[in-house]
Amino acid sequence: MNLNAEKIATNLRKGVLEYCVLALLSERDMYGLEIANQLVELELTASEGSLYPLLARMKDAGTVQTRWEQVDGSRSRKYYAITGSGKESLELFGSVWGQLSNQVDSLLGGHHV
Amino acid sequence: MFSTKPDVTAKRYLRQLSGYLADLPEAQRRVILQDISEHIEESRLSGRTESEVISALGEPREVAKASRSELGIPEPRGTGPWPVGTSLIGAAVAMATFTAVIVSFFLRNAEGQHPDSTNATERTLSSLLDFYGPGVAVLTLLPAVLVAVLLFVPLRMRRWATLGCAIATTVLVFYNPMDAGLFYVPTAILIWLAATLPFAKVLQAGRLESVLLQVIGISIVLLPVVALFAGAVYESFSVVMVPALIWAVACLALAIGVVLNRRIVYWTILIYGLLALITAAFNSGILVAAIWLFGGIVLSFGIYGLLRLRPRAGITR
Repeated sequence: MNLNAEKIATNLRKGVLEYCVLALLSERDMYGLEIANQLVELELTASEGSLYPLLARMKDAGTVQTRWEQVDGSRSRKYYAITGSGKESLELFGSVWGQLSNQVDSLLGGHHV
Repeated sequence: MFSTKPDVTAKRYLRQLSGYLADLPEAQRRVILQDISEHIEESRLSGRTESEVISALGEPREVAKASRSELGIPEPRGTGPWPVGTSLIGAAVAMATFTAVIVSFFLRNAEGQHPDSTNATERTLSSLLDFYGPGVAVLTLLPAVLVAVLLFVPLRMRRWATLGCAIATTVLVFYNPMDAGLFYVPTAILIWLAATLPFAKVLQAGRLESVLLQVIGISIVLLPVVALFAGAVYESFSVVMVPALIWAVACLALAIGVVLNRRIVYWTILIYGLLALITAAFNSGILVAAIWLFGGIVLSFGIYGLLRLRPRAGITR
């Protein structure tokens, strides 16, 4: 991907990352690193560090909730789970995204062969 | 590689990030730092190397930027975190040099044993330089040189070097060479600050620390006023009423300012301390040591307030 393409992609991802996280969490609860790994695998984020401020805001907004779980005795892990309002928000995003991508596709379709 | 404690790279990353996040509300900064440190820990346990993990996290500056935009906090003016450590060491060097000058040239020898003194006045006015010779000037500058060397110590060793320097200066204060130990107290306080503040996990003081330090600050600012007026009430000495009253009101305003926790107040306190130190330098009365000590403590409190109670511009808006 060239530099300009990277720029466009980064800008677009920024707005949808939150819903991608919600989509991941709608499958199962995950801890931070799991979410980060998934997002990196799907090439949805380049900077893993920026995920945590996003998660913090989503928690404040009430779309996710957190709980601590004990792992191998000594350490504990912070798990993220989607909330009711998170599910609503994801559903709403799904419909908006469907509409938007159709509109954009049809617009682009005119220019494409 | 699989140790349970974060190594140097991770620690440095977290420290840098903590610096870039200095203007965030305490609770939110703590959560982000904790999450990232947990991320590093988990990544390491999953078998990634420290450097891989750190580079995948992204630049601390970028993470801080993302945090601000998520939390709706405006970007601070200026670039990068204030180099707290370097600034404090710089302040300590300046203080140590100032102290050396005072001790060598202005401080009167307590014993007054100038060997050639012929009369009482000359005897009491003999400075340490007169008494011990020019060598004393070099000797008193030693702490300043020692602290200045810290600026050239590599960052990863600086913490321990500064701590050593703080202990050495404290020993000097108690060892009290040439009866000048007390004069190195302000220098010692500044070096202790340089050895601790830049390495604190969280840059801004917590609630308990804030309240405690504010109470101490208010006591420091008000103590001389109370002492003076207590003295005046018992008529142990006369007070020129109007300037004393203005000064007392100013001190009271400063104390209220400390409660309000404003940067401008800590700047004012810092300058007030500096003025007291200068007053002590040119006033060879019996109170010289007390005023010097007071000035040093007030100045240090001002610096503490600026660095820890209300860190960095842009926060106050």
